[in-house]
Amino acid sequence: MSKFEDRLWRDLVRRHGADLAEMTRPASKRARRARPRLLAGTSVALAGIGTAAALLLSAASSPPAFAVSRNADGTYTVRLQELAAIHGANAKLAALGIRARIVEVTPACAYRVLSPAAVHAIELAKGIAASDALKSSATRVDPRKIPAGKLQVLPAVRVAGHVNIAPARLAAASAPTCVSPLPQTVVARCAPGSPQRLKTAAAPPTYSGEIRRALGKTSATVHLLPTGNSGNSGNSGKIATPASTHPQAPAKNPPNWVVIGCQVRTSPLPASTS
Amino acid sequence: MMLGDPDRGSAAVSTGPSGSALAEFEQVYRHNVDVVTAYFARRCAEPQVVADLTSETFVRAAGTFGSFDPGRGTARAWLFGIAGHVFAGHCAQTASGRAAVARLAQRRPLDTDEMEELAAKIDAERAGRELIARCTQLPQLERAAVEFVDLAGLTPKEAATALGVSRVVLRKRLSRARARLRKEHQGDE
Repeated sequence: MSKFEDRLWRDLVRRHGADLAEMTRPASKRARRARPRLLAGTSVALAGIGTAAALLLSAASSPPAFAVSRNADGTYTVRLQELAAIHGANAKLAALGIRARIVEVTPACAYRVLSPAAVHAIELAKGIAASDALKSSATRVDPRKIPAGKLQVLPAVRVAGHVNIAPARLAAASAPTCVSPLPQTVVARCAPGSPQRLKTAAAPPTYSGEIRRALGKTSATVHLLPTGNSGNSGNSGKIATPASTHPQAPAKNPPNWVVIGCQVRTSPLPASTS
Repeated sequence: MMLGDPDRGSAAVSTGPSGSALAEFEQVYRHNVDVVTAYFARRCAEPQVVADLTSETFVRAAGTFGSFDPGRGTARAWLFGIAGHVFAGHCAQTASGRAAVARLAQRRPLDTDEMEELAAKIDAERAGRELIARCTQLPQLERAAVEFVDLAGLTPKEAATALGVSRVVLRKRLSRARARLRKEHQGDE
């Protein structure tokens, strides 16, 4: 498939993959009956057998795109060879009752108003940026350590032609459709225009503590963008973008709420960002 | 999952374990995305518009895949039915001067590689676009019949399903359209 077709498929999986994976379609009302048919000749039969054999051989010789295997200690090893297999791996995890989902790391992930998912994504970004992350096409999940009512998020990204899965670090109420590694270029692109776009948004002030805690652990990749004015959220002046990494961070107006640049895209899109 | 004709996604599927509908839809997508993209590439000269309309078609298809009955027609016929509606909606919006604001919110800008891919696709469909232009004098159904069968490669049965007419009507209209085009061509010479 072309790059466009490949990306479109990944978008479709992000938006509808979970629904399709759980969909049980009724069998065709006009399902064909298996009628015995006489083949016109032996050459047709041989051609059919040859095709079937070729398919079997190709299926047997190609490595599986994903694998979920149980280990002796009760943990599971999740292996991914292709990003296109994310939905299949997630369907397998769901079928096994494991509350973990693979989520693709996408630099194009749009910024959003601060949300619980965005707060979680700060820590996730830290995990992705960590030196021990993204070295392997497999990661280990311990279902017993996943908090009740949460999903373990396993970020996956293609690096130098190989698909890698970061270690499981984040448990979220629901899996984001994608996560961003927050490269500097994306952060820079996010800054202009954001206050206008997000003017009508409302950010719950209760998240400020979580941001502070996350900032304490995050160094270079998080961009906090103050918007609006006359804030009473408790964020004004207390949360700052690390000066060493974003000295150009806009701070002309006192922040009304805090927006995280280029963090997480959730589905459906929040109405307040349109 | 049993597939009758994978190239046409004519799946006679009995849904099995979890994820099989997704796997089935993936097969439908992979076998048809090219022809659906070509369908829009014959109509639009802008790569981004082609991408948006193709994307919209498959988004709608994914959302309604549960209601798709392979016993009533192939997946390709079903997809072309959706593509026709998507393009009609696009034309209506364009004609009334309304930008597709709602869709823009979901639009994913193409990168350079994708832009070049789709530009090449649009270029490759030039002959098809010219044929469609020659068909403008034909009634809508005849025009669609020529395009679906002679350009998009659907079987008359699939084209009839996509256009919501009987096979007999489709064949008659197709025959009439071809005769008219032949006559016009001979007249040009």
